[in-house]
Amino acid sequence: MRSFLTVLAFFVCFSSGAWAQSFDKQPSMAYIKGLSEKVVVIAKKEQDKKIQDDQVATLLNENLAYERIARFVLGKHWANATEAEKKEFVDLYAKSLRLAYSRQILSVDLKDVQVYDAFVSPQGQMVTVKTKVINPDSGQPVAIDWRLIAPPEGYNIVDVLVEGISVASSQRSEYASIIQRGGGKVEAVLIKLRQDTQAPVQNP
Amino acid sequence: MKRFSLIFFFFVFWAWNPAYAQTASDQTGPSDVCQDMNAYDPWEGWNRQVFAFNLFMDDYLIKPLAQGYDFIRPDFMKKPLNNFYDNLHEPLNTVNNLLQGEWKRAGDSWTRFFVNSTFGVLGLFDVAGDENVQVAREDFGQTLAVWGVDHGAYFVIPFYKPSTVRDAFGEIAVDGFLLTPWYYVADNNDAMGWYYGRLAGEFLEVRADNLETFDNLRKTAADDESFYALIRSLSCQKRQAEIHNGRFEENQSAGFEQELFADQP
Repeated sequence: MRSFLTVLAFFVCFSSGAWAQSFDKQPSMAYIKGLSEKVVVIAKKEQDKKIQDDQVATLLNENLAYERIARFVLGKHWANATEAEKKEFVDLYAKSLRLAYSRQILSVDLKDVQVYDAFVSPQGQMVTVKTKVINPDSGQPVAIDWRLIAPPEGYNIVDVLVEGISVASSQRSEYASIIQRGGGKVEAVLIKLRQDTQAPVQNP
Repeated sequence: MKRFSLIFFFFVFWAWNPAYAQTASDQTGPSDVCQDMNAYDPWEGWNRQVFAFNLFMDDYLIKPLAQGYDFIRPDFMKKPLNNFYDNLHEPLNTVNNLLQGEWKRAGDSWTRFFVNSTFGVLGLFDVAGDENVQVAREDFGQTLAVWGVDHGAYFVIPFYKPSTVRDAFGEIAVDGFLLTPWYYVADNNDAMGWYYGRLAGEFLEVRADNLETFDNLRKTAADDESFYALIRSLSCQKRQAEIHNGRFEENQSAGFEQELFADQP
């Protein structure tokens, strides 16, 4: 009976609530803080726009989980895509993210980014880090949340939420609409991404 | 009153229609609400046409007006004008926070209105904000959501932002003609022209403040058809964030996490 109670107490203490309370926020918060500092260094140190873009692109390559994000953004259509389409989609999508975000990241002053909280997702596979940055136009703080996965090799970003709006979810909705109007074919969104990234048309 | 009753019964029919009740509640799964767009947008045919009309009117009327207004508006007046219009919303924020049981936020809204209307010179200066009394923006659509009313169908209205049946009823009918004190002030002083003029002025102010943002957003979409889907998703997510006052991260993460790792057992 005593050992049963001990096991029960052990179980109660290490239930999801207790585990969630024991989640260490510091590593994920330090990760985001470290990334923002790297961006600040690039913005300050390098004046050549092309070199800045290349350095930010390298930073994005090292810290964005491109394939995982691409799978999410394509949603249920990922399973219907051919291997060639999947590969091309991941490559083009990664390129479009780099093109879209390299300039935007440098336009935000991350020097005073406040990294103030983090929490783990219910299944424990994702961490959300909460930050505030100052909008350069209005001077007002903007809430930016960073969703991370933590593979063995370290954290990677899978999504960014600006004032509660998920970039990945928004793109998923847009791409679903493109594919639906393209007869359910992934090729429809590949055409858009080729135009966005000015990539050459692939051989069928 | 008769007009309001007709609007109320319209709302009751459409918002509590079982066809829309199958969508996820705002209270339990905000991420689910914005993931299943087929369920969220049963009037897609109508909405796309109205959206196309709104884009056309924006391209040829509203945006040029906003650009002209932005040109003549001095830079140093942008913030005070924003503050002025925001201040006019504070009584509504107060009432809706009270209706939602958000006592502290109601207190903040009332404090903001009182301080900014007096020391802030009719709301031109955000004196309360300088003292860290935060904005707690609410409307009756959010109040209905907190009370458990389903959002109803996604609804694009001519010359209005994307909305839902619940939120359109709450913001336009209830806030606009029942809860806001300015309606009664204007009505009692035979000054409804000023009331609608103020709404038009605020509309133009917001459009002028978002000229570049809107253009950049539109450029990210493949075409106006995709832009419709993007705006629908953005407006849904933004609305969820407003309803939950940013306090729904864990529910939202659960849905996202499930989809992110859908390929894993």
